Amino acid sequence: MNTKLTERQLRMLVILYVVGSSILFTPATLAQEAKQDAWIASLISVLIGLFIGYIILKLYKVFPNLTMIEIIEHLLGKWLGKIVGFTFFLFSFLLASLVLRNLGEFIITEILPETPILYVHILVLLAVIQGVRYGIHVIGRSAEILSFFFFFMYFFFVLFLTPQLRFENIQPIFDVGIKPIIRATLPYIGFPFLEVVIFLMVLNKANKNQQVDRSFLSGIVIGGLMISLITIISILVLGADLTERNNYPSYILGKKISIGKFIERIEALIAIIWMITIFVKLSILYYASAESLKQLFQFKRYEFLLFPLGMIIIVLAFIIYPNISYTYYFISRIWFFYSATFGFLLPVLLLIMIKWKKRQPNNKSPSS
Amino acid sequence: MRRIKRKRKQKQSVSSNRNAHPSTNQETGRNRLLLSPSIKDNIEQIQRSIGPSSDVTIRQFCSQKGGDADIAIIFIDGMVNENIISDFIITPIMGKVELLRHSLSPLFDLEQKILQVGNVKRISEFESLYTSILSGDTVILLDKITEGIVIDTKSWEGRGVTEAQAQTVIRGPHEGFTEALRVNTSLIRRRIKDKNLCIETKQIGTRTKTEVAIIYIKDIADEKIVQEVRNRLEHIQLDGILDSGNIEELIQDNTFTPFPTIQNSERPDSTSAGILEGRVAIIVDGSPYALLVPALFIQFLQSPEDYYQRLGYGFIRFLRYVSVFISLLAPSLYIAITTFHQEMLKTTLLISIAAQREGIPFPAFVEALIMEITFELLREAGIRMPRAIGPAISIVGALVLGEAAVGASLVSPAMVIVVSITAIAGFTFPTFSIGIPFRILRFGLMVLAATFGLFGIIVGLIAVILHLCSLQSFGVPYMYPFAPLEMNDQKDAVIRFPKWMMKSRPKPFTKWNQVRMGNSYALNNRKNKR
Repeated sequence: MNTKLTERQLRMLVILYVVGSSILFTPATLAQEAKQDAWIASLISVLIGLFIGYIILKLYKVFPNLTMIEIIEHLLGKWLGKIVGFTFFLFSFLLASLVLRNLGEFIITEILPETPILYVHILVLLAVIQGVRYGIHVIGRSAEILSFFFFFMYFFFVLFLTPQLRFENIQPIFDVGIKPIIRATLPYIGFPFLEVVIFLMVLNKANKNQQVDRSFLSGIVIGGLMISLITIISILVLGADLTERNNYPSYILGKKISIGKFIERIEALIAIIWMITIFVKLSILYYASAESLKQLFQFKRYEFLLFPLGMIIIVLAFIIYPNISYTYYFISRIWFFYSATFGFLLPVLLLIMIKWKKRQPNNKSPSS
Repeated sequence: MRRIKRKRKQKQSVSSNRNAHPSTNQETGRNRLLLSPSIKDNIEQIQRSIGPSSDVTIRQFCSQKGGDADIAIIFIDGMVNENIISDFIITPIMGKVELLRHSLSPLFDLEQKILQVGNVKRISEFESLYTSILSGDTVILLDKITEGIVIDTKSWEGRGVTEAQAQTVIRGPHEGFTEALRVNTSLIRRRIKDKNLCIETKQIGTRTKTEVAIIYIKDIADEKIVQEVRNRLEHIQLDGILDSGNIEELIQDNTFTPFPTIQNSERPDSTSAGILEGRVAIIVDGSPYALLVPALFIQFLQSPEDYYQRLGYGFIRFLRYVSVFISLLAPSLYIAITTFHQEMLKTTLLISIAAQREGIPFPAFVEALIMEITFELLREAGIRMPRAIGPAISIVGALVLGEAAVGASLVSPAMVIVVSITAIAGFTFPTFSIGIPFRILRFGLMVLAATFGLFGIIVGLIAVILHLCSLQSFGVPYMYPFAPLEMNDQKDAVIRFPKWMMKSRPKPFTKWNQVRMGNSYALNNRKNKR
């Protein structure tokens, strides 16, 4: 039975994962620091994101058949490996609940103001659990179909915003100086790109006969550029000031669409784009959490973990942020350092360990 | 998937255990029974087993004066062609009784010199003798000989080949399958005169002994899929198969899905097209519907007409994809927009809908539910009731329910429009069975729309897509060629491409002979090597 991810499925998963929930926040976090130069910061971030993806691929190339948890255990030994692996599980699990909360918050503030957030969480999680229960290859196949709707809606969205573009909104260029631009890149790097490390739990399911590295890196770049494009458009349409002040600037953009004075206020339809991406991101994170827990405790399958994890995640998503302004503070000040620990430091440390072990061939690896 | 398979295996083993005791005992008991040299004993044995039935005819006569009967002809009245029996069996035997009496090997003489019929074979066991007699063959028994002769005289009244009832086309062949297996296989054989066309037949059903034919082209179909079909049919342990629907339910990949994973067709032309693509057809005696495996989602939206009309019609297929969404989503979108997202409507439209809904006591969801259930009732009644009172239902449906419900301000006119569009969209599917899942899922999506608005619809749709992507039919992903995406096979998916562009067969059905067109033998060879 063909349960491997094809090249295209992997690329679609990476694109949708990178766009994920970042697309809701990134224009605002970028504009906060870099004002009208946010688009420069976003392009720099994509380059750095490509570099991070390259490091992760290096680690994957060494152990193409192992997941992150197994790599850690292989290199650090059983006990230390289990502890570090558990923190990695917590990273993906926390990230999953953050993403769930992002979606819930977005839905109850913008689309369904009278619905309790708890029920929004439950509904989404039920669909996510269904997908993870089917397996990652089914999520990959669904991503192929969903990405068709995603790309269609995205280009529809961009196309019909073109009449609203005001190029004076990004002038003057380089007004804020180089420092704020660099500072602005940090939350953007932290929010989708450092989280790409989660794919080390998925890549071992990719079809080895196809070009995994090309589809992985191109997925990161395409996803990153799609967010950058939305950032540029929201500054061109709304201006830096409005972009910065709005909670969900990319959603506000949807309200600006007007086709022949007949199709207007279709932002709820446009929100389908974000729902698709957030759903796929959440599914991958949920899969990674369940899979890593399974490997940590050496269970045979993870299906029985899905409902208990779901109960925990709903409560966790409930208490993880007190409110939306804290979310912004968290993304721009704290998250970068936490995700850099796992998304950058840990892979680099592991790569150094591999190099170091190679230099001492008599040092036998602990698991063999 | 694996879990479901295991479950099925368990089920089968349970059922086989349950069946095992009586049937094996009987069968082993009968199997050992060979024909005895005495014709008297043989006839007694037959009379004990099947003789009491009134339609069993045992014609005995003796070859010499005053002797006991030493020739017996046994058949079932009504299942045989009486003309063959009287003209080509009884008459020649009577005429050459002398030859037979003095013959050293009477069976050989019977076969070679006396019987003037085509299909003759010998048997020596009672069990196969019964099976032959009961399926319409004629058996000749001779005294002092432990073998009988079976002559194929099957012939019974059946429906002739008529126009296909459920899957109609304007242009293209109008023939439909009938209930007789041999007629159906001949309809396919007449279309594909290839020496590699295989028709394997086996009997299924411990009591009905229904003939089931597996039809495929040897050097196109994937041997793995054919073997899988054989295995699954082998595992069926049931007393009776009355329609191909019984078989479909027992060999499908996944029971708990609203979506059909086996295609059915009552048209010989579309069945032949499937076989030419490398798929396997299963024809069941007594059923005018052939099964085609593996089945993909897109194949349920392909009408044979798409290929017979000129190219422009291929684009009409796109309309069916639109109608999938309408049939699935129209009522729920109406509910979501009027309940949660009024801002999406133009003000004038919003005011007119609000004015219509002013006197209506129900929320939009209840209103939609009433109308949808009413429509489903009408539709079901339309199929079940006697033909003669057909017009009555259309009067009740159109006038009483449509007009009067609006007049009594139970439902708004806009809702009637939405429900009618949904209904019409549901009738555009070329295969009846693909409409059923959308009818079922529509209600779930209406509930989601009434509680979570557009957000609920999206989550519901994603869940449906996940489910569709998890399905497979005989090892082929159900949503192929969309997921996994295969550019080469998009030529027959959403729209039909020109015939000269459809040079290769769909990939998942065949490993060999992918090229179906063109003069390039070299290309064919190259692909074969791979």
